[in-house]
Amino acid sequence: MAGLGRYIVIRASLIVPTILILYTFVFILLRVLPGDPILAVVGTRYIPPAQLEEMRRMAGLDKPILVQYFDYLLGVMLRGDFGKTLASPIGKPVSEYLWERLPATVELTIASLIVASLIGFITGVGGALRRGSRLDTSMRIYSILTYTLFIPVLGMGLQYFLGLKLKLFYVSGRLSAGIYVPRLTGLLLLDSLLAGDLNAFTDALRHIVLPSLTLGIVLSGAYTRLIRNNLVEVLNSDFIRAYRARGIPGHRVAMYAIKNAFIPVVTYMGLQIAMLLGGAVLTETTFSWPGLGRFIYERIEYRDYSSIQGAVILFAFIVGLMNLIVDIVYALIDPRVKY
Amino acid sequence: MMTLFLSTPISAFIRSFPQPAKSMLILGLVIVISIVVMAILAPYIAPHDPASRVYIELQPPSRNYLMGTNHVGMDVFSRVVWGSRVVLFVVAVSAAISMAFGVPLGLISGYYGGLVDRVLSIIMDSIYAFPSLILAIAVAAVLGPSPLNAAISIAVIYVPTYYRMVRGETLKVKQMPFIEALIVLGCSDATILKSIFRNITQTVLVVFSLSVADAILTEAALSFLGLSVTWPTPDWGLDLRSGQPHLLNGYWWIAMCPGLMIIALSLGFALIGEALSDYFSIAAKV
Amino acid sequence: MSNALLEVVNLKVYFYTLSGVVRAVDDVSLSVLPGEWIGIVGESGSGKSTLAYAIAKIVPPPGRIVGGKVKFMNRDLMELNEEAMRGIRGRHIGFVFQDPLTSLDPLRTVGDQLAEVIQVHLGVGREEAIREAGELLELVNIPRDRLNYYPHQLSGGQRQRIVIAISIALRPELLIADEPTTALDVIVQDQIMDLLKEVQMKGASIMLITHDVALAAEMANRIAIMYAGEIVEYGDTRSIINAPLHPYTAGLVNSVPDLWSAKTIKSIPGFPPDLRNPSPGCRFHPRCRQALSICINERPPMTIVEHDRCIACWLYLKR
Repeated sequence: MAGLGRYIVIRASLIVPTILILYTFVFILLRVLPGDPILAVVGTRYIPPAQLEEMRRMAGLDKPILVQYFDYLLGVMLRGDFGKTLASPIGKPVSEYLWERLPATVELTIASLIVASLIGFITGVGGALRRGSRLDTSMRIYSILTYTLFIPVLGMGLQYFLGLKLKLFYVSGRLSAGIYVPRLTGLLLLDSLLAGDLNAFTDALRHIVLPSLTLGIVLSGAYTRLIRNNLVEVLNSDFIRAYRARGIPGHRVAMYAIKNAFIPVVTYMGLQIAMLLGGAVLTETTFSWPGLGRFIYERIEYRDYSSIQGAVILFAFIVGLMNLIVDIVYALIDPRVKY
Repeated sequence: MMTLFLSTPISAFIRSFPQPAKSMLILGLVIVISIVVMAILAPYIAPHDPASRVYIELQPPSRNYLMGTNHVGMDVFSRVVWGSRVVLFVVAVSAAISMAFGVPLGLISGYYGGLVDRVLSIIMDSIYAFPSLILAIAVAAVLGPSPLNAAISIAVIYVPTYYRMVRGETLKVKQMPFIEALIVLGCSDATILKSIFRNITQTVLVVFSLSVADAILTEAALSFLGLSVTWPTPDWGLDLRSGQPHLLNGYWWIAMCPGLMIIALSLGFALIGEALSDYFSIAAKV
Repeated sequence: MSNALLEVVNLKVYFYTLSGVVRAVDDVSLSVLPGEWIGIVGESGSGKSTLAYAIAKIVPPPGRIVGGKVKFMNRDLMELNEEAMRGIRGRHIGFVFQDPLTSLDPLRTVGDQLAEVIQVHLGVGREEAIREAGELLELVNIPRDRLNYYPHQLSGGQRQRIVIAISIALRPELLIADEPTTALDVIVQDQIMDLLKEVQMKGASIMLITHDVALAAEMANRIAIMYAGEIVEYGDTRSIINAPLHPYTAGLVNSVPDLWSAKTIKSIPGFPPDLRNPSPGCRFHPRCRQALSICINERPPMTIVEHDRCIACWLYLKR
């Protein structure tokens, strides 16, 4: 296990440049591009120049650009300080909002991943076992279609049929008014169970179904295709034929085949994190889901660029962290990875 | 007209596709071409002014108002027809920009290698790993809402896509004997790069189709979030957004008509891209 | 009642692909005696591997056995269901595939894979299976502690030994080795062949499937030559090599380089036919220098020309 510990440290240190590059990239984009963030907040309103200067100072925009760069980076790294909001309510720490909103996004993405992998698994395995059949072709069409399904459109379709017409699920928010769940992890499904409040749990569940189904379906197409192609490849591989030639029972062979087919899927999950988080922004906006994505959308309306920067940089950290987790899982399940 | 088309090299090219790639290609082309024609002929196709009140609000689809009317009495069909212009403009401009940067950088990186290649690769990979939509939102939010700014924001996120594919292909083509021959013959770098480029055009074509399919969704997302055109300019993403509250009251057509158009256009390009990548056996990831 | 261990009669295996039916094995008959070493020689695509899969009824889709009989240990395998076949595969018929790099599961230790086959067939506990697995490893000259290794930690030769260890774990009566050394270098090849020889000495029959006539000539006591899905000639090794009758066999034998003679190596001109719609006549006739007019339209039947020597060629048939 000492080997694994070292592996994690090395992997983690490799994530650092990625995060730094992303931070730098976002920083440069936001500062170098034309458009003054302060003027953007102000819009057409008249604000005395002195007050503009004050706002500029508060946002740290009066300092030399390099100082700004390191100040912000160190603030994030050492104190979890993502700056202050520039629009109403002005001057509040962005980090407060970020921590408040983060669990909603985490809960949504986990639920969506579960939906996506379930659908992807069933359709992918189905297509692979009957490759070349009509089922296989329809699975392929499904995977192309999900690729082009625009999240808000799918979301609204589900809202209309499952929410409005059949009244099975709620179409927006995380929890009905009047229901309170004490915050432990911030994940409502978990917290309500921990509090032993089944009523709240059902309510939270009926809220999360539609958004997670929406995002899950959109993500599932990629899994369908990946699992199908991997499984076809593995099923045609020599060692599976060798298993059969040794008289190993079919269900065992299937298990080994699936295990082998899944390794590239784990790698892909790392690549898909970007798609997942991007999709979360649209899903949260469509379903008024109070997560980070919805936060960005809300702050766009205020042109609160420092909140947007904070959220984007937090996303960069999440991407780095998730990639690290994927790397570690990969190392644990594939003996070929040396550590 | 039809017989004329059937005798062109393009139709011969299409007919050389095996099934099911051929059906996919034809379906994709039909979708894309009809939407492009619709955009060009918008003034002749749209029966009403897309941005003014023409009838009672919230009327369901009928013979005179094919897709019904919206919450202020505008004709949804006319808005859908005119709205195609915005998305096609934004996507065309952004694809041109990202190709103009991604392709040459990929060629240079793959051909010369060395430090330039390493630095560029690390940067591009980092951007590629980041949620592209969030990046586009950040850029568009700073630039301010306008179609051109949306195009720039989208262009930024697809540069790495072109770069990675072109670089990978360049590395492969560079190894081929005919390129090595050019190197041995002492041809100039420009000649060799040109020759490499000719051999990766298929890849660029596939990446173009697939990334345009994706860019359409990104464009729709930006305008859905209010980062492209402003009301009452007709635009699919924006109309989807403004139609949502009414959809939740049962008036589905305001949001769903433009929404389904977004999917159709993206699907058209995705089908073309799939068919081409089947045909050229290029495994492209966008 | 015959005393043959394996008897294949008029076996047909067709692949139903989108572009047509490929007759990979077409009307093949042969027999294997207990304890003998038979070589099946042919080019790639001649159907020799498919023949091997068909014997164990593991032809990959879209291939199907469409006709013929396979009698093994006096049982008709075609009559057996999948359950019963599983009891035969691994237990009575062992397989060694071409590529040792890919015929072991990369995610499981070799000990697990070795023990599994013992557990599945004998129903013994895991501990006993592991102990036996260790003995088997030593039998194939690999230290016992390699049980905990993953395939990627071993060399190609070691992996092929392990594959052989797995395939002989239950002392099968028949060991089918499909190009067992093609992927290995020459010295390792010799070691693997020695190992197989040992297996044969212990009483098993070996079916060596190879494209290498010289290798088959060195190891096997009988050889069957396959061409385009059919057996064109078979007989004992010495007579086949010293006096090949079928023009194709002669071509194969002449294409082998010989260190000690200055003979010129001749390749066979042309290519094997498309098995989707082979000609009604002899499948070799387009490449045959001695082709007669009858070869074009009529298929030569398999005929015994001398003791235990059969050939399918119009040149040697009296009409």
